[in-house]
Amino acid sequence: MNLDGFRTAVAAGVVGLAMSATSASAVTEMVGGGFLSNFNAACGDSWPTGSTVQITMRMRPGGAPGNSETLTLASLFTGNLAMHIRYPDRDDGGWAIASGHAIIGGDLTVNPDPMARVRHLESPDGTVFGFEENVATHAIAEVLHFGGIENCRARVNVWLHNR
Amino acid sequence: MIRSIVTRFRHALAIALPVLVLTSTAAQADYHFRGGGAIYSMTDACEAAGYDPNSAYAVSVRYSPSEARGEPPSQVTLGFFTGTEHFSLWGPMAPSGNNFFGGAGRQTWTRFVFYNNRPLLRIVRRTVTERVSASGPDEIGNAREVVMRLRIQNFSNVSGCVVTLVATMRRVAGS
Repeated sequence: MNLDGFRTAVAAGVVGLAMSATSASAVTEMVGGGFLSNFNAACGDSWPTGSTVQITMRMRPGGAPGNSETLTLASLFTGNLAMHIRYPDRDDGGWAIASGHAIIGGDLTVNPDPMARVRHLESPDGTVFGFEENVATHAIAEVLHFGGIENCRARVNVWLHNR
Repeated sequence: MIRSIVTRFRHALAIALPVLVLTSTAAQADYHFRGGGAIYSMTDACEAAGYDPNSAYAVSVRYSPSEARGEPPSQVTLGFFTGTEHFSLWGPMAPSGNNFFGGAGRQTWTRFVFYNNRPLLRIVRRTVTERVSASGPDEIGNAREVVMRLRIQNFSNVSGCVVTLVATMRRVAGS
């Protein structure tokens, strides 16, 4: 057994692990909350038209340091439901196809058919101060086929800050 | 003479009572706002309440403006997964410049507690982001959606714990 070679390999491995651990922990994660609203009739009794649902959210925006270059990951939570989606970023305001995992009570639905579509809308001025533009966001988006319900349309309005 | 004074008093009361009743009825057009946001930018003292001052925390928020009922207080409730913090001000939560106003605080975690470290609230900004009537005034009474930013001292009943709360909310009928 070549101990020196082993030690060199271990040292390299430890350094490699340390670098990986540093890289893996340096993700950009945002947390916050807001609400769901503007449900259309297609959402039925699951999400009644005119209702407002409070949510909290965790998000890893695509392109942020340590995150995917192209995909945004988002999880939203109500009192008894969690939804997770991931979708490619679009700067043109167009619809992005999202892969989704919805957890409702004891049921788990993965990649429901039809898959959700996400479109970011313009957020109002003045709700994020200039000095915090790199660490906070007020995000408003429309979601089509929300919760795996065909043609159900909902609006998401959240204020998030880096954690 | 005393009889005429009593008669005039009764007459005045008869006029005043219907006015009071009408006023109470008008003030019952009730609404509040529901949504959520984040608390962040905490001082080190917040560690005593279990927070990492360098982090941010998701929170659900419920805001009841005094303007909705035409009478105080204004109230805001922060909901966490296992507890709540509640603040009330004897007046509107309208932007207050650099001024902090003393309010009342209550929290429900393992126990229900009245703050003994009086919370001080500064309403940094209150932005109407969608109006009920597009042609109506840019005021809380005509707000369908609002973003509110507060700076809160003695948060979680911890002396010296100061946090920023920003919440985006939508109007809901009722109190």
